Amino acid sequence: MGRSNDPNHQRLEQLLSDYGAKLRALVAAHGLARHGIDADDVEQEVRIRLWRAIERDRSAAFHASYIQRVVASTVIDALRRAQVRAAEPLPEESEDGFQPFPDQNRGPEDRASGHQHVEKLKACLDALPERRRLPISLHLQGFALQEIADLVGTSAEAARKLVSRGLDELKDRLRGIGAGDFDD
Amino acid sequence: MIKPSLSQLYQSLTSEQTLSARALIDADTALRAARGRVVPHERDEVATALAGSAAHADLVQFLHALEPASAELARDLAHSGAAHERRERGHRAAQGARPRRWQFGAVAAGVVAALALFIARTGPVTQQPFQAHVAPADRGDEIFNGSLERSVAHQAGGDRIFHADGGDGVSSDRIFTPRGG
Repeated sequence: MGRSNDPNHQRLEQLLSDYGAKLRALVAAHGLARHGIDADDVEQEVRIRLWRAIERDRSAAFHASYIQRVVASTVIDALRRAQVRAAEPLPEESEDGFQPFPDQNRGPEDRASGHQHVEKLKACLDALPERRRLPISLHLQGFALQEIADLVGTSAEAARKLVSRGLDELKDRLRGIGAGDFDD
Repeated sequence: MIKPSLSQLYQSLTSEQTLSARALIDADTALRAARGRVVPHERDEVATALAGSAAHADLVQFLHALEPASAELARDLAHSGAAHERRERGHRAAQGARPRRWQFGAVAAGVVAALALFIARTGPVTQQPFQAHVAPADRGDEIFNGSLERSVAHQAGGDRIFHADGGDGVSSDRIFTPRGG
């Protein structure tokens, strides 16, 4: 009987296919593409790595942590490859080599304005007290309050206060240097 | 007028950070961060790395969101693996019954063959010494029974060394008998 007709083989194929679809959707949803990661490549690589592990021992127990580790290693490898590619000179590189907004539809004026905003934000963040700067930075990176609390080693309530007060202070500073108003 | 997003601005600022510059995040550290179980002594370093690198932050958030799907896959694989093991065991059991029958036959045949070989090899070796012992006893001891001497003594006629007349065998032996003398 061929392996493709093996019900166990088909079942494994289906499981990995379903998981791959979720993985691909999450890669796209979490903006990993902006770091040069191809969701299809990551899905394919993860499926291959998991399939090999299963083939080595079909009776082995595969814990969620093992699967997560396979995914993490694959994405980190992909990030490193993407950085190597990004480090290679491009034929049409921007004049200053810095593109804070990956949106290619933006004109040069918009990009210049964005660059100024980024510089002002950086200056205002650096001026904040250390204990507020880290929680605000994590918040701006998209971490939830509980995640920030876990990362900085405090309670969720303390993290909320640090973020809230820190954001107010940051916005005040930005207004103070004439950068205007900002959303979170 | 749409206000610029601080998050977008900050992430575009930190998207330039390379992993080599923030190389401390490996897969295990990223997984611990995703589970909210950062080791205390590495907390500052990890938090700073995540705050300063959009790639790391996206990776950790992605891993956090993927956890339920990975747990589900692990469960499904465990069921699938257990089912596979049961099938394999049944398959082995079904195959194992047939070989056992001929295995017993092969062992029995081997024992018979070994016995036959043993008998064939050891049979003549035990009989030959017995015959070798018995046969000379039938003939008698040639050294001590004196039969050889008797057969020589009973020869008709005595020794005829330098027998002068060459005639009758009854006359006694005459050694250096002078003829006509």
